[in-house]
Amino acid sequence: MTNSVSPSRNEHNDLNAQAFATRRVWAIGAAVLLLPICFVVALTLGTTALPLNEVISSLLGFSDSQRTDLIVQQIRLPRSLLAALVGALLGISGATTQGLFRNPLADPSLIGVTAGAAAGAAAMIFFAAELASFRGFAGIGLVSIGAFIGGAIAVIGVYKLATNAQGTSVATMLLAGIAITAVAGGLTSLVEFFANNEMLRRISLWRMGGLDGANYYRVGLAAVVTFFILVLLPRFSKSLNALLLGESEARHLGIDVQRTKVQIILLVAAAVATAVSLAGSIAFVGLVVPHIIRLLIGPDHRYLLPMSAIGGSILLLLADTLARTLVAPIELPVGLVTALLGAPFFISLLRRRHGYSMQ
Amino acid sequence: MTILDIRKLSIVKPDTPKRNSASTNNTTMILNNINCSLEAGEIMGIIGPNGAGKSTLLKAIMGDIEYTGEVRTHAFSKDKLRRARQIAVLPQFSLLNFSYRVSEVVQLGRIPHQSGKLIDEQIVDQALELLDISFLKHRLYPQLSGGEKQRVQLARVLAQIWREEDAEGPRLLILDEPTTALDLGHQQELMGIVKQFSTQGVAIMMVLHDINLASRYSDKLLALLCSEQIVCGNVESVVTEENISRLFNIKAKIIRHPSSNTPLVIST
Repeated sequence: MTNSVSPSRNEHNDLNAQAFATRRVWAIGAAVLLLPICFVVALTLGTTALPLNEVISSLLGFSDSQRTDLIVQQIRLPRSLLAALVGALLGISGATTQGLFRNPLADPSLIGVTAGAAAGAAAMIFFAAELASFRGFAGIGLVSIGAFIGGAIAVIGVYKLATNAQGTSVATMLLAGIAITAVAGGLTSLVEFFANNEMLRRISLWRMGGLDGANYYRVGLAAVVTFFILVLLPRFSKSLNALLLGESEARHLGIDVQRTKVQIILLVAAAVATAVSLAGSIAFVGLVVPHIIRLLIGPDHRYLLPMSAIGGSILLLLADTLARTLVAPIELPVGLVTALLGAPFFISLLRRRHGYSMQ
Repeated sequence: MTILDIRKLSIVKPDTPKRNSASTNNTTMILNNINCSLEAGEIMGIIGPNGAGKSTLLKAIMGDIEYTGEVRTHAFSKDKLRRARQIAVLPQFSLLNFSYRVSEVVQLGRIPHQSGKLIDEQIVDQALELLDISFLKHRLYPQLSGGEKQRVQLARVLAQIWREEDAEGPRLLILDEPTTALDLGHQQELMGIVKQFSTQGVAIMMVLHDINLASRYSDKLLALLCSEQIVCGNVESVVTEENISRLFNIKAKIIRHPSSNTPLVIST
């Protein structure tokens, strides 16, 4: 066979490959370096900015300033840890959902978790208001428990609707997710309609998403869930890579598609429900982060999943730092910051999508 | 060695009430009573007009849809992963729209294998070389033309069953319209590759719309019309003026290929 390729074109391609491999290494290195830097920045900045050396000595236990110790160890450290963990959960769930739905514009909230969690939280705020204290089991909070239950019910509903004898249809899941989201939204509005002003404000604040309820119990819970998610989800990297070709193609590559789908959906649901119940609904992290990472290092899930977790952590740490400092001493809900910054960024991505060869 | 034996394969339309599926009313069937078999190293071409059930037959063989009758594939492993090392499938359409590089797409064909990164990369390079697309190796898949995409998918499918020692048994290549997006030169080249794999013992089952291509390169032809098997046998017995006229509703004339002496269909 004749080969019509000129040598110069080959050279050009090899250069491309070299540049791509180098960029992947750089991107991974930069993310791994950026995470601790952002973490320290989050500890340093706030209503009162602390000197960097004091923050570090307080972290290491050498500080003699009680005030610094209080701010760093009791307030900012649990909050920043929670931000990093929730961000990682949202980032990796977003990347997984987009792979499973074969749609780079999918978002974990598509499968109804977020709306279900909001309905659960609203119901708990409404019905448990009489129970005086919102500090429920081990400081996690009744509202969080309500949110988790609501999110879980929504996912089970979506999954049941999309599953029949032939298996689970991912396309039907999208539609069922929209339907369940509408139902949950209606229920939330119903609760809001009957709620008094105090409850209404609580519900609406919860829905904006915030990390101000951070404490070490929540951090511990988030850490356990994040640990399991970060260990388990990357095991599906190869399956997700194959699933991008299509479900039957993945089956012909020897993958048990139905079992893989169920396991991935369960893990994502657990991750998102945990994130939402601990930090409220935080928009755009799960959507934008995998997108940016894919632009940097390509769609291979072996790199995409861990990098999305790191990217989510970085983004949420930065967003929370902004939320605490923009109009200090008032703290903005972090969900507001991610939405207000994430949406314009996402729109600019959409407008430039041809340059990124997205369909 | 017979590696695939299809007996009385029938598929009922999914929405048909189940009261009496044995009474084979033709309008409720997608496929009705298909019988054929495939030997190792044999090339079977499946021909027929649009909607005759060609792709559905392939799906039934791969176990993607339910059917009645028998598809005997005893020669292949029952384990999903081992089976994927023996049977590779090229679908009619590809929906991949994530910005994989071409080499990464071909690499996906090595997912069922545990032959190691080095060997996988060698096989990917060889498959790209074989399909004449080495120069596309680092391009982004969604930016390619239709024909280039098809050749990349072919390279992926070939990489999946590339080595005999990985398969631990017979190998089968299923191609659903592999030449639709290819130009004349690349069609010939692809058929050469198919022939080359068959001499290594790989059985090939492919749907083709180009009868002349099918009759020149196949050992056996299966002709489907309106869910029914019209004829299954060697090329000479299938490509007759009568059969072709009936299949495609045209006036056909058969002449001989000047070099290979295989039948050539000319519509008059």
